[in-house]
Amino acid sequence: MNVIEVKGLVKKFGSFRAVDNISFEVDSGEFFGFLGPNGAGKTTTINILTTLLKPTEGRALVAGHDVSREKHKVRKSIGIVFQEGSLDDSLTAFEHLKFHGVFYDVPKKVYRARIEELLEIVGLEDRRNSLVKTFSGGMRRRLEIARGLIHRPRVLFLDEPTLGLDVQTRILVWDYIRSLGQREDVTIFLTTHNMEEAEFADRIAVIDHGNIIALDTPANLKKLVGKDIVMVQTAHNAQAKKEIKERWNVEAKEIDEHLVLEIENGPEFTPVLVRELSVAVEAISTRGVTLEDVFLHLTGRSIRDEGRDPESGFQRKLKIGR
Amino acid sequence: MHFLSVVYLIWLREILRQWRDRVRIFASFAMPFLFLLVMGRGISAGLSAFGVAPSFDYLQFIFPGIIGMTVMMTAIYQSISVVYDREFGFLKEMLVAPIPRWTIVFGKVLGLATLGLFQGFIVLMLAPLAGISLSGELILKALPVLMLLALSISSFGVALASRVKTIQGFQAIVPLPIVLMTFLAGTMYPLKNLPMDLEILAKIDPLTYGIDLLRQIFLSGTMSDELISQVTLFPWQLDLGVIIGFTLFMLAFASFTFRED
Repeated sequence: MNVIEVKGLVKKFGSFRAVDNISFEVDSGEFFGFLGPNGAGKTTTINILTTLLKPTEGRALVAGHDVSREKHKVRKSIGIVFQEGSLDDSLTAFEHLKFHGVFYDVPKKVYRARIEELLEIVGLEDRRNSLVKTFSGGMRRRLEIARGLIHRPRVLFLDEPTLGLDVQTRILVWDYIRSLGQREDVTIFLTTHNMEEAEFADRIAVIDHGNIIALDTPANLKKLVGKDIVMVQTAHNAQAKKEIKERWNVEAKEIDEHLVLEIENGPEFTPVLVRELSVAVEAISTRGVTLEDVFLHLTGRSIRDEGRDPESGFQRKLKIGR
Repeated sequence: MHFLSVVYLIWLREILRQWRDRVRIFASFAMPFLFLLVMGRGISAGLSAFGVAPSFDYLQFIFPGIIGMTVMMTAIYQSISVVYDREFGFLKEMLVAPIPRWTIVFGKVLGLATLGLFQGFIVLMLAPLAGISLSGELILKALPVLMLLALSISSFGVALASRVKTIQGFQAIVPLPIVLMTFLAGTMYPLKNLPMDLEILAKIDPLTYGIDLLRQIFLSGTMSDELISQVTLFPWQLDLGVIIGFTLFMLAFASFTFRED
């Protein structure tokens, strides 16, 4: 059963189409990833699905309810962890969870028990009565995740949940998120521009310039590239690129100082390449396909090339009464 | 029942926030003293130096004005919490919750009004310092007026803050209504023999009616009726009616600014 259904969704800010006619479905219990560079339309899509923004065109159903006409019902069935923090420094961890329980009309006995359960899951049980202003970035994130689950939502939206966290904390937070699906029986909808994170999703929608350009399991997406990746750095990349095209009919992409090649059997190809190029090879490596390569394959650009997030500017425009 | 608990929690949050901030608690106690003991006594003494000392006790005259001003200033300044909630994200947590928007507005307004009323109450307790003796009757009459004043100005503050997107912006704009309301409301001087334009503005200023009413309440025991009628403007029924009307209007307006589209 589909817990999210999106059809022909468009969101315009002035003449800029932040989301440009996207359609997709998310199955109940699925771990669904929205992968794309900053400014691709991920946060805009989440803001529409969570009733914060009105779509310009198209339709979106969450848990069977229309996001623009049945806001109240949609809100009851979702939990959200925003990209930017949404905690109050002057409240304690426990108070945040309790407030949330009351906001979502969860009976007191139920939310009391849920709070204990969730504090333990996110490892904050001994900090329950500390003010949030004493929390680290990772603790804040974990508290927000716990808060989003108090009312047992059908869908948990996570907008770049590990953004701005250091590597260790990132891994920790990520472990919690991965185990949630099984423990909590909740559909997870996650946006990220981090390739390693997206690997764990059941299915991934790759979004670029407001369009979904691919939607499949990580394994199938990698099959789109279908080959190994050879990265080579030479004394004269332009010359090497030309020779590779002539000799093996392979289109090399230039990323930073490297040439990136998609090759059937990387380990066997590398010695041949080193031997036969007329220019000196300075460095060479081969590896299996990652989602980064998939994005490069689909768009011709590296996902990290993108500049600052233009969406954050639009987010500021989110005001109370539009 | 659910909505009442939500309003209660949002109210409680404003109180907790104030309570947990030592600096704010200190300031909230210090300000009323400053207004009364520095400003009130200062102006009082200054007037006599000009040889224009009024025929009544100026400190008594200005005292109701100081209470009204304290409540008004606190309520407006505290409404910056709406801007903080936007800046630090807690507003989003409330906006995506399955609660009607008016519960957020009412909780906020009640919270801010409570803080304003609390300040007003501290000043009220200082009445003997201004030569006004406190009685149970006086407190019972003054408190509801202070409450209405706090509610209406908090609603105004919340409506204002909902339109301002940054903390800096709010800090830049907020002195305008404060100065305007304070000086037009006859806080420090009787609104008599005013130039036409000021008189019109004074009659638009809701604080005018609040302070006029407070003045009648506070001075009734200490001044002659004749003197009171010289320094006040309207019958108390009119004052009260205007304040109640303004409170309802402002509550509706604040709720309107938070509406869903």
